Amino acid sequence: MLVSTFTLGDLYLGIEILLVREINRSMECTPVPGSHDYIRGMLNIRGRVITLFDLRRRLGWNDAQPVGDGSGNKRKQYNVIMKTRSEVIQINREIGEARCPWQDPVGLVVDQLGDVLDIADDNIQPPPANLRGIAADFVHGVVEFERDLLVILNVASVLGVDPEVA
Amino acid sequence: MDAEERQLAREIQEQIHQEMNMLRTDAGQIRHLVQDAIVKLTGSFNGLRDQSNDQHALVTSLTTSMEGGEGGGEGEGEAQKRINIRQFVSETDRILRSFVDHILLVSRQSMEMVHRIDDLSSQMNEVVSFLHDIDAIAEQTNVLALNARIVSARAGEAGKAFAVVADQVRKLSKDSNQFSKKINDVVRRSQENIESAKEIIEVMASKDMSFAIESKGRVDEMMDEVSKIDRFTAATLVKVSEITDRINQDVGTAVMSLQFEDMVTQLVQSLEKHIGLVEQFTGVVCCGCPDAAQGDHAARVAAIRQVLQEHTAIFAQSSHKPVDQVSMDEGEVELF
Repeated sequence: MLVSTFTLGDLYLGIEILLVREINRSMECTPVPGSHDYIRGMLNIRGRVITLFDLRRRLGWNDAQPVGDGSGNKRKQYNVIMKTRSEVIQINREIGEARCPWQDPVGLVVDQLGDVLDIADDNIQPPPANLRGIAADFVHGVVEFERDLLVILNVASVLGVDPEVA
Repeated sequence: MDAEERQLAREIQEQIHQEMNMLRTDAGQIRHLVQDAIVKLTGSFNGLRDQSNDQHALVTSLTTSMEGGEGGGEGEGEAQKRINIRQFVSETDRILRSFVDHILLVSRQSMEMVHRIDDLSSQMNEVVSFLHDIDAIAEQTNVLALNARIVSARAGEAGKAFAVVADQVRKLSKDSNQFSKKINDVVRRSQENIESAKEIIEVMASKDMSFAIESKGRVDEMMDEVSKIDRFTAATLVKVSEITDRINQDVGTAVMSLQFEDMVTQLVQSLEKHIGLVEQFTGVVCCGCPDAAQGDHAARVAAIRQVLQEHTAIFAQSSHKPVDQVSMDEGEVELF
């Protein structure tokens, strides 16, 4: 499984690459009044309106803003724009039906970009009950590296969409 | 002339003889005393003159050495070898002036250097801003490569080659990022060094100038003092030289005056001679006249008159004084 990796604070995160549509530098977005606090706002990319999820808030971290680099500037963040269910199904019907229940274009805000890793399915272990304050529901699995632990996100849970319903 | 008269005459002659002997002894004593005193006085005055001459020579050499080469003559070479105070002052002044000029030059150049370093510092800042641009490009390249990788993943097996290219591009962007970080580190260290160099040069440029000028002023004052003392010493030496000259003259006069010994000796000799004559005369008058002893009163008177006449002639002959001078100031005496 190809996984695109990111960091959120010290946390090393991964998202299955087939679910990712594109990655951009974070840019100004329009807030959505009355929405959950983890909804950063709406974004228009090439005519598509995308709902942006603030991953930090979604994971329940209080410090919503990433720590600056000391020079007073706010550290740059990146938007990971997800494919929609229909787009994924066009490529891989099985994966699309199993893991991509969301119909609308959505995006996740992360801190830093990582590599693209090819991880054998055997290496992916089931999530521990509670990992660094992340609800186990949000975790698809973990992969152990020498120095670090890669947490592969369950994007459907993060987005709050029940795959069964879809 | 009876025996009683002869006896009286003999006694008178005896008395006169004694008195004359005493006079002679006194005159001899005077001569010896004067001679002794004169010898000692001459010695001591000659010593005084020699010492005064030595002193005069010393003072003269001092004055010529103070006046430097201006004295001229044969002492010029020697005077040039020795550095006198006036030369020392002017030489020190010259050296000091060139020192201060050098320091002022260094100070001006330091200020110039500070400006150059400011230029360098702002150029370094430009380099840093360019590095930020390079970082931004590298980051955009990274995002681009990542998106290319996502697109290639959609193509599955067919996208493998494209994925390799995308990975290479990502790698390039990372390398570029690392280089830019290294350059940034070097530039930051350079900036720190430049800052500290600038501080040092600023201190140099600001501090040295005032210190040098103050020092120059102080040394100028001290040199003025030294010059004053030197001039005073020179003037005093000239005065001392004049005094020595006068002492020399006075000593000369004193030595000249000591020539009175000769006159005194001659006067004493003349005195002794006259004593002898008077003694002889009284001897003849009193009893040495054989014709008068037997003759009558008139014959005696005639004999004594004859003796008186003879001795008057003798006295007139020897009455020429050997020394006519009354004081030492009269007459020309060639002493030296």
